[in-house]
Amino acid sequence: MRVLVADDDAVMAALLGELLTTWGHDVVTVYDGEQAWLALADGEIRLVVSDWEMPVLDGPGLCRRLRSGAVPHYIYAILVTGYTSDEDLVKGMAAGADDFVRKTPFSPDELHARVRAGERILALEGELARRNVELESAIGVLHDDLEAAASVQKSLLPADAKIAGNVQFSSMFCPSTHVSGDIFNVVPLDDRTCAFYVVDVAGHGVPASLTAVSLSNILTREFLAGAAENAPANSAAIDSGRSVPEVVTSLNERFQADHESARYFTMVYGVLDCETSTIKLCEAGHPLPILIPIDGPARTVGSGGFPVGLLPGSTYEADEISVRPGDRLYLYSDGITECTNGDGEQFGDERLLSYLEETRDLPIRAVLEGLERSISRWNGGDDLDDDVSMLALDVLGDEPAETVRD
Amino acid sequence: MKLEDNKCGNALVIKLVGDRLDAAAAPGFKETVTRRIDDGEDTILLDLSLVDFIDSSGLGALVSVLKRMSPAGKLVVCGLRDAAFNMFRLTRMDKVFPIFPSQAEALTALEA
Repeated sequence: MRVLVADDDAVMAALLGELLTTWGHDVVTVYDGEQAWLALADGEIRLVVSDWEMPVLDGPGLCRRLRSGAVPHYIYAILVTGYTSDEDLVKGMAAGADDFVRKTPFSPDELHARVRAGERILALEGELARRNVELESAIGVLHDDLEAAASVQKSLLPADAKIAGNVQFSSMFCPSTHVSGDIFNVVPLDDRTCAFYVVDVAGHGVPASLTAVSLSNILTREFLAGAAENAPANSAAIDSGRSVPEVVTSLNERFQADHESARYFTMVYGVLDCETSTIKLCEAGHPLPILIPIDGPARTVGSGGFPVGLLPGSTYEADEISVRPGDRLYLYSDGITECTNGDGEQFGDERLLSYLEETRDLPIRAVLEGLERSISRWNGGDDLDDDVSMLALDVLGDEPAETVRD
Repeated sequence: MKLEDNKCGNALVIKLVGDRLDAAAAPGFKETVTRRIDDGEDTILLDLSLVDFIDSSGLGALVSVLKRMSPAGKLVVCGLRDAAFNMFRLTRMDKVFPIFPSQAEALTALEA
């Protein structure tokens, strides 16, 4: 180990240097604190044995500089001193000294023991620094993996402004960590009907996102249209396929969580019939969708239902609503309403309902962006506690019903 | 979250002392109640009168302890505040858990 000896008494400096060399150290000798400080610039010195009283910069002064934060690694400091009162020791330690060696009577054995104690501390510090580097690199890898997972997950979400008939779908999505337990999609079933869903898997982070991703892989057009896929193509295919509640019932059986993991989810599953402008909605423990009719006050649709995967044998129903041009329907996760401000107050159903009512004449994009800003302000700009997502259905003007398209 | 329990006749009354049954509180709640069920308690009253927020983890824990009960056992809840009651209704848990306004009414029903 490279050791610095600082002492203005050349005889003492020589004695200290000789002892330390005998004990196997590589010794650098200087004669005052300022020289010592300059010598430390070599970056190799790990331990300093310094006299207390020296010209230019004394031992405690040198210690204070060592602890000023300007030195990248820990340097162990031993002061050689004639001062041995409690008051002096406290003063030396406050300056940053780690240990002391008496000048009179000077004992080489005592110095040797204290240098060894210093070596043990430095070895621990070195080990800690090494582990920190390892941990930082491991965290970096995890962080990169999560970012990659997040971008894969984002790619599963629908492109904005999908249109089915005269209904435009738009969305807002803010995951609480990189990956999310919220997922939603719009899945055209045939030339007349279009399915859509919002899902919130219980919990958040990686475990919830894995369930969300596996769900999004299951909820394909083939699955949602059910038996209709095998029937000859016809415009009323959905009627001969799985009904809206049947889709949710079958998911419930498929996702029965075991007792331990309790990984279930809430969802709203809907199917839009472009020809009749009707929407069937099945609610499964998710916040109730909010409808803003063109000519009436905002209201929620339906009354709830069992979450999916929580209890075997749960039964589901669908509500049916008719929509007209100018109507809007919002499906959202509880990350919006349960978002808390600094006082612990939730954003709440009422505030969301009023916001959507007040912004009924704004373009849908502006509504969603404004809501995202409101949530972020409400939350104080910190990381969100829960995933936030919203899917908006905007019924456009009296255009002829188009073919369902992506 | 702290849980206070005391025995009233055959029933074990467990009161949740804390205002949130959320991701932080749910694992401890589930572990404690599960242990009491495994120790043989078969009539349990959960007093939620201090709880004003239940999240999805809390709901998962409630259903998990319900599933842990023996088929002959009874698990009921009382003292649901507005937010918790709305959550029970939205998720149809009001069809799964017998709900009583107060401890006294729940205990009377459990003894009947």
